Amino acid sequence: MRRQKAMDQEVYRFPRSRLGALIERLARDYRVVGPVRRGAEHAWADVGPGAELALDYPTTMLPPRQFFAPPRELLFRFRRGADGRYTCHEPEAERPVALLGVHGCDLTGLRVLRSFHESSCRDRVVTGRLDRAFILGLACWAPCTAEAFCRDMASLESEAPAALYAWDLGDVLLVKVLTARGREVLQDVTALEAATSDEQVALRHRLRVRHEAFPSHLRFPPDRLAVALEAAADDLLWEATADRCLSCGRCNLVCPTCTCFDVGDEGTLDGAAAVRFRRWTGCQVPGFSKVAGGRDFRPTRAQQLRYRVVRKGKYMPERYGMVGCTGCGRCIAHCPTHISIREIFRQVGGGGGAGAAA
Amino acid sequence: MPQVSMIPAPCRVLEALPQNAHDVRFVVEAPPLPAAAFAPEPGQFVMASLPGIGEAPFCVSALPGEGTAPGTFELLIRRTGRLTNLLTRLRPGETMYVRGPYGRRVDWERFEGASLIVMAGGLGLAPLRAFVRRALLRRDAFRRIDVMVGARSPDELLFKDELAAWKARRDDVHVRLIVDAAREGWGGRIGVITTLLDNFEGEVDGSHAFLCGPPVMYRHCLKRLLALGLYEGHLWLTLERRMRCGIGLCGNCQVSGHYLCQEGPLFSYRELRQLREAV
Amino acid sequence: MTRPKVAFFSFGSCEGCQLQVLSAEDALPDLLRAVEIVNFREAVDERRDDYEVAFVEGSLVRPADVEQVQGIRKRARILVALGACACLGGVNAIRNRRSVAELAREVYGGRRDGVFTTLPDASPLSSAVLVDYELRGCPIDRDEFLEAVRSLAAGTVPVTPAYAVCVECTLRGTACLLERGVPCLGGVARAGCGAVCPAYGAPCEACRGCHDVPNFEALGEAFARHGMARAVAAEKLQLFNNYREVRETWERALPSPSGT
Repeated sequence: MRRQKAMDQEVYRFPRSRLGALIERLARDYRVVGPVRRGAEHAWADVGPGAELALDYPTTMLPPRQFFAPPRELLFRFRRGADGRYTCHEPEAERPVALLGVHGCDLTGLRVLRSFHESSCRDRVVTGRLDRAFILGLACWAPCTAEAFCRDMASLESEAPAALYAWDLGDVLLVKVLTARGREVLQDVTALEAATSDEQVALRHRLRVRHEAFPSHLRFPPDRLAVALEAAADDLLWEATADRCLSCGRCNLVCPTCTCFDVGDEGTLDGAAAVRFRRWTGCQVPGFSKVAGGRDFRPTRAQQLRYRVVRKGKYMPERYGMVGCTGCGRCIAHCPTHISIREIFRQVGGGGGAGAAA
Repeated sequence: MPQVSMIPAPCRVLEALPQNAHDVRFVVEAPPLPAAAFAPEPGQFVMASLPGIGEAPFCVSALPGEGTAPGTFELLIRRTGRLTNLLTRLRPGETMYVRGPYGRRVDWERFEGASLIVMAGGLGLAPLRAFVRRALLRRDAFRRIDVMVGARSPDELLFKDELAAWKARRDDVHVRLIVDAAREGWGGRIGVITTLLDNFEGEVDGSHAFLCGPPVMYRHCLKRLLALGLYEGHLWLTLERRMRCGIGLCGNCQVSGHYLCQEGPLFSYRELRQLREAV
Repeated sequence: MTRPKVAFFSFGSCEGCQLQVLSAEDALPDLLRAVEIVNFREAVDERRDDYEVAFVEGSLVRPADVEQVQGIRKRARILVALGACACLGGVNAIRNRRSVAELAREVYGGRRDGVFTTLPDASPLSSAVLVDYELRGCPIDRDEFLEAVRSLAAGTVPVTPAYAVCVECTLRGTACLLERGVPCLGGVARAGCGAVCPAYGAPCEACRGCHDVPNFEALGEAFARHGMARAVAAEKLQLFNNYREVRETWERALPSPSGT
């Protein structure tokens, strides 16, 4: 169905050789960021001389949310005046960002980020950055890691919130226009030529092959997770799995939909100036659920693990309208003991009864 | 427009009144917003901070114009760590940095015509004091009012003058105090706060009860009050959480997907029962 | 505001932590405006005993060290342990699993008698005196030290992270060394260093000790999953975390390293 639709809309051919021109065009208005090779891995970084855009990247450790809610962000500066009182000064808005080559899982992640920030309390700093961003989405042809399960979480074919969405056919990319801004930018760097019939055939073929390349790990749709997780609330599965947890917090930090932060202050020795900043943290980071006096309201690893998983699979869809897991597989791939949210989902929702894990 | 800024306003400390070795009662000038903007309700909190040191949530313990001068409010701050070490040292004329109020605004009409039972353990009296003040200010709107206060020792009792003033109102408000332990000279009761419910003369049916104190107190008082026949939707608890933002973003106060800084920290037991890991 | 009087002392150590303080060149003028240094053998000639804050580096290795640190404790209102040796016993405690006689034979060929006296265990300061605050690391982190001075001068307590080095590694985008089969202790190690070692390709050695809720069984499993023996985790932990009470926290969860 989606395959047909792709053809119905504006899809243009984009010679690979024009990528440089696209980057140049975007650099006029944006800070241009994309996957860049760093040693054996890829990371999101500014694209430019010496930092080549690597559209063939499998995935990155940190998700693109880092450009909308940075790992450490200055909230404001305090400056002490002559009267001894401090005044607060917010940082100036930075350049909007253009993200090139964002996969379906991370496009979904950005939509989840928006759904959260448009709920009970809108963080206009974050939504403002999302509003101003320019995003080039990019189709995946094969799972990036053995841990990915984007097809199960229905994020493999996500295109929004991209302005342009690309299928990489080698010398040519086929680019779909999703927003007026996308069309404007594309027009500046290409002649808006329609895809040839050969290219259309090639795309259909690649999409068919791709469907086979992404195995199905879960035998139920993601919207069944909420009920399954509710039923498994007291399952032994949580304790059994949490025994392997280091409480290192990596699963939170690499997640494209985690939003929690801590707030801290730093200051100069003479007290003339200080900063208040926020920094990523998460429900698996020691100290997160501590209250005054040192009491922890979610003290055990099992409770903490369950909280993370249930938040993604139940609380987030209930409150923000979108499942909080995109199936990107990062939290599994980067867990030192390979605790797998996919496996937990499979066990709580798997064929028939929950609780099989005990 | 939703509040998103985390920028605090400088607020002058008008009075700093030590309650004991570690608790200080502060009378603070309300943030210099348009006057109407700073109108906390009982149970709400503010974020108070010092530049370069940090920020933490504190329940408002007296609201502007409710036993305080208009344009002022009160906080009770216990010295427990990095920030409160310095906050408790502030003197009149010095500045603390405040934003808020935050948290749920409870519709007081729902309590009208009912009897009120207030049970405070230790620091729990700080937020509940705003409830009692509100109730006494509108005394005719309620039937019987019972205030039960527990503390570790007589020295630890907060707002002693005010407790005495409430007591002096006789049938207006039934005040009973109890301490865990006391040296000679303490004429009052010794024991845990739940024992004050043993021969409870007030009404339970149709009453609203407000609880705040350490976690152990919650468990025992909850059980007793429910056993006495109190409706769980009329049992109100203030939960302690370490909010970092106060505006539903940072996630630290989350319970079962609910952001306590917005939906609480005041909850009825009926609401709390839906939340895992809440109490 | 009067400047608090501070002093620096050292016991069994390389004095690298004090050098960290001295290397904070940009901050030294501000530091000297914030505090008055009355005793700092590495830096100043003055030797006064009227200090309020004592920064003490090193572990206790000789009987005289115990008396001296007790004296410092009596004079100082606040005692801050500086670095891995002072906080954990540090590398000096590697020797603790063997007897002094055995070590003397190996190092001095048995001719040690009467040369010097040694405690059976190299110990952290907390084994002999009450320590108010610990600034961990080998060496300490300059910024963390300055931040602690700022807090103490302001009249309050410094804060240090409760979480794992993995948090800081991930936040700065460092690729995981464990995933490449490198024996890294970051998952149990206390943060605060900014994960500087892994950022330069060197695995974490847990020089700051362990975070608030270390799971050593899981660390062993993580090593095994990445192709290393569980005992390697124990071997690595011995470097900084070998003092008896520290060792007890991980010893039972991991197989004994070879050669001990």
